Amino acid sequence: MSTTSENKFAVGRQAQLPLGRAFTISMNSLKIRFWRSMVTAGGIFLGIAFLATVLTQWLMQWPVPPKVDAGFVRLDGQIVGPGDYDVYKPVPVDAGRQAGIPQEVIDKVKLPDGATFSLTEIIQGQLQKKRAERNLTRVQEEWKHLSKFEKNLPIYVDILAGKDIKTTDATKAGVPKALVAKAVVIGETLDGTDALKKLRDLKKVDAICLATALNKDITPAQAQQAGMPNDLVAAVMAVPAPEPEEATADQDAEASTGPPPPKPGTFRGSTIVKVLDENPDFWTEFRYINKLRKMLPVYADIAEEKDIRVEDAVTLGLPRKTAEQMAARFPTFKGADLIDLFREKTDGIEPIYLATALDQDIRIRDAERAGVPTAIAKKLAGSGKAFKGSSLNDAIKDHPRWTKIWKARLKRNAIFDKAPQAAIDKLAKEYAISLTEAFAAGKNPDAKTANLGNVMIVNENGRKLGLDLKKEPNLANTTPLESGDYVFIPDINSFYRMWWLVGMSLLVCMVGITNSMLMAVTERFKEIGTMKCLGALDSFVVLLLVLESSLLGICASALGWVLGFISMVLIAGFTKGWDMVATMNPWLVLGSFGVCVAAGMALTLIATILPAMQAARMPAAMALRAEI
Amino acid sequence: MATVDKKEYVVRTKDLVKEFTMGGQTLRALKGIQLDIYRGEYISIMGPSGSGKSTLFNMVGGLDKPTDGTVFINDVDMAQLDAQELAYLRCRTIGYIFQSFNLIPVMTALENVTLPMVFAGVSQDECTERGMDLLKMVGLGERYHHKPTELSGGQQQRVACARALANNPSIILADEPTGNLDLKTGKEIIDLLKKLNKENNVTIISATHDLKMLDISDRIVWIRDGFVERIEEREDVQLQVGVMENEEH
Ligand SMILES: Nc1ncnc2c1ncn2[C@@H]1O[C@H](COP(=O)(O)OP(=O)(O)OP(=O)(O)O)[C@@H](O)[C@H]1O
Ligand SMILES: [Mg+2]
Repeated sequence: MSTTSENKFAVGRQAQLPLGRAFTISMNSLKIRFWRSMVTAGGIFLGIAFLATVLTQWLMQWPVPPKVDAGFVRLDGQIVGPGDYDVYKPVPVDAGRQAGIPQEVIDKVKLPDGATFSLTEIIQGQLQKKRAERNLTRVQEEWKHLSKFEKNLPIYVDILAGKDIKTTDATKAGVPKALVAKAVVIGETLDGTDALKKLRDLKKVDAICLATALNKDITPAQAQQAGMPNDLVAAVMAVPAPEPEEATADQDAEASTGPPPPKPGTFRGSTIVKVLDENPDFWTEFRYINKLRKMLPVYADIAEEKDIRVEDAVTLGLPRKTAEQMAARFPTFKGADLIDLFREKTDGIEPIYLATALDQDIRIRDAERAGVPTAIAKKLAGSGKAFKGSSLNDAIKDHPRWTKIWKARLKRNAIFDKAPQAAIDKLAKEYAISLTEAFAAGKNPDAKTANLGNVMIVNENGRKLGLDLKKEPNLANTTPLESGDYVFIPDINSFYRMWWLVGMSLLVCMVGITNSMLMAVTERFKEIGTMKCLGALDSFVVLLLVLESSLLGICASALGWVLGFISMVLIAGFTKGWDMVATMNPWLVLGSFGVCVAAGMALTLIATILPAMQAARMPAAMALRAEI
Repeated sequence: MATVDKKEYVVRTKDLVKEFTMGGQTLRALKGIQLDIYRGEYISIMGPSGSGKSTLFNMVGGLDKPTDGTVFINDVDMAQLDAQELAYLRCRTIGYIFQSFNLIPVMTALENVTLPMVFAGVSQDECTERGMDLLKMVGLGERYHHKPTELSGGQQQRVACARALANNPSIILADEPTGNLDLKTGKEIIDLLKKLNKENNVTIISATHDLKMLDISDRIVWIRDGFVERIEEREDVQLQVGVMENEEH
């Protein structure tokens, strides 16, 4: 007891705690004030997310190689005369012959000067031939499947259009016989002109009716004689004669010249029909009017040579037997009638035909199942998921033309295959133009606004070349271009803009992080004071806060990077295309992660250390009094 | 007269002056305090609000530096100590109890109690063992895993007492330990302090407005306006109180 009390006289020196102890304490502290820590982390998180978006955008500066035709290079960006240029210089005829290109091929692609020829044209010719071959087999393959629709589909398109269809055609195209028979019954008709002939023979026809059927002009006197009531005659005469339509197009001419307008002072039977239709309350001489109402429209139909239903013909006075005989001469039915039947009963017909007749959408999947080649179905559907049967019919009609086209192309370009590949490769290497020559062809890049420090050459074979022509202008002479290269010269302002954005985002980070860390430290002044009372060294207090904030800093900046990166990738992917995203170098992506975490850490540390040191240095009494 | 043991000084202040400067105005909170405190004493510091009790405390506890004068703890001049030595002193020689408890809100009762031991470099197991003993001593053995917010004010202050005792300090500085507590809990804390004083021979220096403290104090220091007004022995006070009680009858 006395020894311990002796010890109290000697003042020792407080030792620094081991790092592990500090780490446990700070971890605990973070865990316990989890939500408060999350708020603090939020400041870091958002700042770094912003930085990450900027950096990620920077990583996506490589252009996506566009499709450039073989034998060409494309110049693009900040350049005068952007466009496609021949990647090969004119090759002397002799050199071509020596390399092993047959004379007949050379003759075909000779340039106007006669001494040189175009290598690009040979390459293009070979490509054309290959393409024609490929397309021809494709088209023929498609035809194998399509041809089975060739015969039947038009019938259904006609059904859809409501045309008259021969019963035999319909059954051949797969419409069940029972349905056809029904459709015929519904729509049994006889030809109008035929009926008229027969009616004339009967000689029992009312004068007005006959005049209507024959499209004759009727004078009021004739009408009164025939028994038409005076007021009806007056009403009919009051109707102004229709203005003759002016013939504009060829088709219209035919239609409008049909019935010539009635002579002045007369009227047409069809006008009576119209007047009666418009005045349903016409009642004088009831029986006569009624008769007119019933029969006159049929005569008007006859005048227009429409098909007439058997029943109607019978009411007009045609013997039933004659009418039926006349109808049987035309075993057709109306497409529209069949459509109604289709709506009720659909089994027995191939779905694709049914859909065509009913004008329904045919889904790509269903079309494939029915045997339509996938490529055709997709093409017809365009951006959608379905297409109409009628468009399939059009495609079928168009198909033989394509076969012809590809056959002709194949024949025309077959000769280029005679040029051996080795010879072409050899010449391609020797006669490829350099970047300087390409610039000369496209005129010089705009030196003022172009960023010559970052000339990018990409092509679809994965070539990716970044040239700094500002530092090494000679590279332009020594870099041969390849067929299909895409040369992009960015605008110099975009370069500055990037740095500006990076600077701005760092500033935002700094403000956000400083703010949240300052808050986090000041609100713990009292705790710091207490710790000091209990024997914590100033350096331990600083260490504790620094550990805490660096843990927060690492996690928040890593997550912030993830947010920034992913959102940028998604935005770029959906707006500029996923190819753009794929141009990112994975190592640089990793680098941007590193930069973001390092920046987040550094800013967090700086923002913590200063207030933490201030807090640790201040007398414990003052820290204890601090109230937040 | 007191024994030789009692003559041993634990705390001595000499001409202690503290000035606060705010906005060009200088405020003298302490105006030359002379105070000698013996080992094992129970001292109460009384005085009206604003008289400088807390300021004196901060000087004695090494939480702030005096403008003038010196504080000796165990005959060591505080002004001569560097930061590490001061931390050592705060950690092992002095225990602090505050009016507002000042527990670390994110730590459990046990963690709060063991924190000074952690700073003293005591091993984890020993910390836990001694921390539990201390909590049992203050009657909170069951509540060791509770956070301060889950404890009542009296319980928090008892945890603070346990924490003050963590490293067997020779002095406990208590600044209005009962100020935020009701009469009954305040009494419990006072009893606890007295028990510590008796059993562990800890010197207790306590600032208070609480007259109950007077009963158990060895000496009472009256402070007014930054001066020590008078120092009373317990016998005198008891006599006075006794007289007063007699008079009332
Ligand atoms: N940090 C400070 N800055 C300025 N003035 C202070 C500071 N600390 C204390 N004072 C002043 O010093 C004087 C003494 O204050 P102190 O806190 O010691 O009083 P006290 O006796 O503890 O009062 P109470 O009983 O109300 O706690 C007061 O007038 C106060 O305003
Ligand atoms: Mg006070």
